[in-house]
Amino acid sequence: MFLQKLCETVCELLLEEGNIQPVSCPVTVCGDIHGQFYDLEELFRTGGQVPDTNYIFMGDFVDRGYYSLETLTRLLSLKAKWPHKITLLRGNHESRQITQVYGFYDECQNKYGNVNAWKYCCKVFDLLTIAAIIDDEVLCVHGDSWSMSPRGAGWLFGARVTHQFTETNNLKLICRAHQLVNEGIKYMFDGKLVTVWSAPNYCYRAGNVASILSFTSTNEKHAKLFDAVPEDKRGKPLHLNVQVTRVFLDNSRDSLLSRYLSKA
Amino acid sequence: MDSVGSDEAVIATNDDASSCKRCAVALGYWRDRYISYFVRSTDRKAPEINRGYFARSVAIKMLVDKFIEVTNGNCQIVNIGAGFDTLYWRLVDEGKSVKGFVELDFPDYDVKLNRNNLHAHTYKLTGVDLRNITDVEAKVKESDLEYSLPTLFLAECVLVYMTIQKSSQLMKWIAEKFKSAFFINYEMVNLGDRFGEVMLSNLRSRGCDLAGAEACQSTETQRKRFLDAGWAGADSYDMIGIWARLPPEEIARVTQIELLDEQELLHQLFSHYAITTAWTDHRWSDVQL
Repeated sequence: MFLQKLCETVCELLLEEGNIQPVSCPVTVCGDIHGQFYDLEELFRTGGQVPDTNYIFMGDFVDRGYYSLETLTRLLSLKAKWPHKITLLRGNHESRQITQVYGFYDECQNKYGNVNAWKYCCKVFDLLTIAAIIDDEVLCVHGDSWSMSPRGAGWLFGARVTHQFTETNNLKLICRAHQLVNEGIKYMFDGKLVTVWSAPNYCYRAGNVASILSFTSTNEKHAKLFDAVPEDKRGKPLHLNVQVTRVFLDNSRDSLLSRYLSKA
Repeated sequence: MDSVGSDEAVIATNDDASSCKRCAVALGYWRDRYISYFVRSTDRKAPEINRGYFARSVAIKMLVDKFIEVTNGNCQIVNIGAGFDTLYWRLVDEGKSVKGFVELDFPDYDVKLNRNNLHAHTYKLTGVDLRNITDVEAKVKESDLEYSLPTLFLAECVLVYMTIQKSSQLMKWIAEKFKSAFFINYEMVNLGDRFGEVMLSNLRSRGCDLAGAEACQSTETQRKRFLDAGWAGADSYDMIGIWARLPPEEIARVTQIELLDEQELLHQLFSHYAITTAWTDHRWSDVQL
């Protein structure tokens, strides 16, 4: 099965990477994608295609959107073809437990008719890098630790920890994702922490804008904003057309192979 | 036809709501022995959707129970645009009897449900076009509803699919005929923002025109529409306010069912739906959560 082979290939690559993967500028940092395949394509149109542009994706590729499988396959294919041009970090949704609640498990069942696809993907999740560091000065991580505490005292804790951590480790900035930001990007704690959110109109209803953060150097960066792809440019969600999608995935592996893994 | 959308698309919103309710029930958010008879099992919905349906379902049920209690069961219930709602059977299960229970919905929908003008002891299902007030009056007469009895009217995302003119006409007619009426209206609210724009656009692309969106600008417009239609009083709370009024032990119970760390999504949903109650009889102004 194509997906199995792809997962195995990427697993081998990931085993070579460190827990904190060093990356060099120029590089573009991206936040949550959550199965919004058509918006991922828009992201690449905004930031440039791989390998022309280097990317760090900070996790949460799957769940919630209708196209988690296509999104993940796209990113894994890019990783397989250009392993040094794209870094994939692990988000909290790259987990067995969470994907059974938020849709990826169901999508695999529906599109493949069994759970094997999900199992192969979970093996990849297990090996995904936790963090990336850009030129020793910008840390990228999915970012659960900076969530707002339910009791509301979280911001103070977050500010202190962030300042201490960046000082101790000589970091200029911490990039994270994980939390929906209406404006697509949000700086906090005197600019020491930035949240980058890359899923526009999250869940197809939140109405937010998305962003990616492009680093020319660790001193020079700029955000690029983008909107969700219009309705008429998107495919119909799976549950309206299961048969077509299954055929698409089966038959598309050759075109996928030739498109994303084309020989030099 | 009074709207650009299609009736079929509006009827289909029942399928969505029912499958969401079924999903939440299957996970244990509330008890409903009957929903599975109406709707096939479906993919799991997101946790904030389940919590949203829980809040809606439980709040409405609490208000209905309260109304039955204060009237000692000497009342009628009219479920407008009922869809696959299982309220009648749940009340029977709980031994809560009322003098009459009428479900009103599109005649086409009733055919889909394989029943039409089904009459049982206290339960009646009647096909009617709510936009046609003459038809409404005729069908209400046929249903043996008594105008003088305390009557609860329930509408869950129904009025919004009618033009302001038509929904206003319906509300006025009810207020004129039923001097002891109590209305529970669950509906969208605060639609003037980006979220509202996206919702309207999403629904429109599915053939659902929210012809009555104007009344959904705020809890104030939701309240005012009843007062303008001759109702004696009205209250309106968005679902954030409703959630705060639900029993703490129930909140504690359901927050354990599924992990939800994206509180922003729940907050966003909650702030765009509201429960409005209205009454023509001041005795029912105390029917609150």
